[in-house]
Amino acid sequence: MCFKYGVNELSFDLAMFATAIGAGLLGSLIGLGGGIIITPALVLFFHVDIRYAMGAALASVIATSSGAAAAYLRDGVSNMRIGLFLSIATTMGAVGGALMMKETNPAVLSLIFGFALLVTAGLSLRKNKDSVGLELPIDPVAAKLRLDDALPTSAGPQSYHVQHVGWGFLVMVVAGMLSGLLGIGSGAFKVLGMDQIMRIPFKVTTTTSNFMIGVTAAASIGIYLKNGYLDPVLVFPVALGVLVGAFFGARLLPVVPVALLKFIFLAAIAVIGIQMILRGFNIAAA
Amino acid sequence: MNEDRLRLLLARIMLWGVYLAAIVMIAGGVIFLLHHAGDKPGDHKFTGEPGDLRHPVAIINAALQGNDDCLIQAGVLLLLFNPLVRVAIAATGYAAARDRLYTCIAAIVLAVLAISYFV
Repeated sequence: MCFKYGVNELSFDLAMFATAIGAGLLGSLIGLGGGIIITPALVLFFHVDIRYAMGAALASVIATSSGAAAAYLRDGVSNMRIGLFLSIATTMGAVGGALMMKETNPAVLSLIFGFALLVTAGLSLRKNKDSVGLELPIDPVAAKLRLDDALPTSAGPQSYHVQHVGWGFLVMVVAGMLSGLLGIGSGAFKVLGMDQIMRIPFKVTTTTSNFMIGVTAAASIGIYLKNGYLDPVLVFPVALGVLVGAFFGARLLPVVPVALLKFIFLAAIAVIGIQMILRGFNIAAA
Repeated sequence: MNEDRLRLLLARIMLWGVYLAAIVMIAGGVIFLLHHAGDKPGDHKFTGEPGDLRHPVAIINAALQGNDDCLIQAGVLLLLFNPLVRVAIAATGYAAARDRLYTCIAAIVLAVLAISYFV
């Protein structure tokens, strides 16, 4: 299932723009960044080289995360101290990941990308149990870093206590590496670390990870730029399209059957993941 | 400046940063398509972008001279600097609030971001 490659620059850019709008829309509806959807779409349907596709996706990740984080910063739920502290881990991981990416064969990148898609789909299916209101002990490291805060709720501020700071930090290094290696925001992995390991309330987790995603992506995009992976002619329709899609997705969110959509598209993402893996094997064999 | 005011300032700057980047990219994109609408697209094969599309200073110089794809790339650069500015403002805000720990943490993040442009 692939379309003929665009005949000229205009039709190609329009096709890229339309695809990116779709990816941004879907991404914001099912709670994934556009990055993880746009790269396989460009690679599998339009035969764009995976390195150009990842570059364009990474740029679009910065655009959407800045837009979304701005909205979240206003409502006071996100925790800037947690975001900044964990950004040390994600940015260092991202620099490492981007340096690894430079040396990695595109076939292997396609393989790893496929596995990341499968894991992401699995993580997103998981039910999120909220740890608000749980009596968790105060972690001395978290206390020292003043990571604990309160979540504004209708019943007044609910305080929360961050756990396992060291392990959380390590998971963030890995999340950052994946971000740099694959040109994704790796939001699903960041949420996993903050939600499951550090036991931060889910609302705080999602909004704070949005703040971090842009900062993380910025740490590897310089390396992408320097190595010629950012093709402006591809980046501009993709980044703009994902922005437009995410904008409308956020407005559609209250009116569409999200649970059903989520199930259908996570299944689709799993299938795409398998295709990316197969593609990796094909290139390697060719 | 307290943390709530810092948050609001950051939110505003981030939004305007994205708008500005989008406007520059659209301008560059339209000019590019006016010149190259009929060309054959070349992204199916990886060649790596030419040198003037790889270095911030070269990109801005060429964009100022009216080079179309460099103008798009300048928009991309604006987008990339957005998170950098975000962290720099956070660092300044914490410094103004005399929060030594978080000024340091923000400065470390900023240092990693800066280093990434030179490795």
